[in-house]
Amino acid sequence: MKEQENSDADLSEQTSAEDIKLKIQQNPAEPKHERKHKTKPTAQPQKTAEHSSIEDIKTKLHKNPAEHKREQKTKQTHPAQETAEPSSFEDIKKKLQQNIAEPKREQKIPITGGDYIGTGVPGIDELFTLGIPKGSSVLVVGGPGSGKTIFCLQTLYQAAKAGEKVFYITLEESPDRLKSHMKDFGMHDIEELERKGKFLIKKFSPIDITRQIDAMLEQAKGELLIDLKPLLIPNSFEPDRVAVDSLSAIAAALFGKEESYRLYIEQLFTLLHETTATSFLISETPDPTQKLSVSGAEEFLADGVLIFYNVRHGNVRESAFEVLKMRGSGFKKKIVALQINAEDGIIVYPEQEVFTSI
Amino acid sequence: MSLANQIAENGTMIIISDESTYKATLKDTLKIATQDLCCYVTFNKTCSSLGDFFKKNGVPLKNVKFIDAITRTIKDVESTQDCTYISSPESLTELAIVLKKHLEFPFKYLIFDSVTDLITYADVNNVKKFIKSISYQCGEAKCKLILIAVENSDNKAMIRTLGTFVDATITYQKNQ
Repeated sequence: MKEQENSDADLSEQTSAEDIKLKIQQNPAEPKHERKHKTKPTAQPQKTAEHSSIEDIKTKLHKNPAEHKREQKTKQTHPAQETAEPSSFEDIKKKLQQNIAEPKREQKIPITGGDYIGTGVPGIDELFTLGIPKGSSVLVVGGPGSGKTIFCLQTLYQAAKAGEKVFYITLEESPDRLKSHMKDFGMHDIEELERKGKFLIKKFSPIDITRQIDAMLEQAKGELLIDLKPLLIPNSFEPDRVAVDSLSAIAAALFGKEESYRLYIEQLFTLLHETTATSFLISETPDPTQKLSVSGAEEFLADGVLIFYNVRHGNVRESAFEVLKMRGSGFKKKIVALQINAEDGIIVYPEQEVFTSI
Repeated sequence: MSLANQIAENGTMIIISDESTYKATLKDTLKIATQDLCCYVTFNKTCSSLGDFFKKNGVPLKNVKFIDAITRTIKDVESTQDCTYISSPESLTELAIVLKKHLEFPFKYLIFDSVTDLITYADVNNVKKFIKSISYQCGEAKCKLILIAVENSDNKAMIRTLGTFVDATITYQKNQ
């Protein structure tokens, strides 16, 4: 009985969300405008428009601008609190299930067409002020299973969909296997993009590259200018975006020839800077908090560094993402949550801090 | 003061029980919360066994949405409209992402059953960071955060620390 009294007392002080629900329970078919009206606080019903506007002015005059901004931001952060008019709790649960299964984010930075490009990967572009400067060479660092390959496939796929020509160089997995991965992550029309000449995937053997590097180094006899272009990019194809998967595979093939690898990497970055293509070079490293690349030079030669973490704590692993460096563009310096969703691939949550020690 | 009044008066709170009063705490707290939309996060029992327990004790669940951090540690299960499953109680980031989505909807109560179970799984410092963050988000979303804690001699200090992150520390008494 006492609880019932309390509950009644609570009802007289309903918040707008409660009002919405109460109203819906009473009459789900009630017109929208009426519902909105009743969500306003009812404590001062006699307030005139003039009176409230004077109050508004007074409030605004006394309000710190930063506070005002903060308030506006809060409103943006919780749009559903302000505008949601769910017809029932069943609808709310249905929407929640959809939102959790298929999180969608607005693409704020254009994927292509400007001096700065977007990756098209949900959440990542929100970490940049303007985007990735076109033509940058970006090192994509992470341990096994952290999402490096999916990220590169996803950004190249989105770019191809937006009209760019893209080239995926694989030194490990076969093109068929990569295409199969792409389909698993919702990139079903990859073959169509291939047919249109927008997406090219080519496998190179690291051993063949090693042999060619050795031969060229022998020919050059100490000269540093080696034309690497024929090794990687076909003359007939001028890509806007390139991914190399991975530098670690080349390093493994050149095991014991560290100097050759270093020269190759220097030449590769020189070549990539000369082209207008934006490149993503994968560096696989067991622990990105300790080491970012094989030689330790890659992260200095690259214009940008993106890190994919896959941290174990207890019996689980959690993924996280960080933009460590991006020459010519502002970015948020923080480690944020990342999820790999079976249907959508990589999703980064730019506002979500990570509750694990990295 | 009754439990209902204490819950009504505070935005974020920790309700302390002991092993003998734990089940009564859950039942009485949810009875109050289920008068409105309530999101119930379990780190202790599976959503299905909790559902049985509440039904047996006459607690209506029509306004309750569960988030279950236990079941997927035992078996692979797909989320439903009534329950979202997360990988493990240790997956605090995954839970935070799911909770953020829930707080975009007009839930009036968010219940953690129990914060002391959470501490047994996840790193204490991460739990503190997590609770602080969720508490802030609940405040922004005008959702009441209720942390259930089962006190024993080992976790008293930790519960006291968590008490500093919330508006009120309530000690549960039967027939409050």
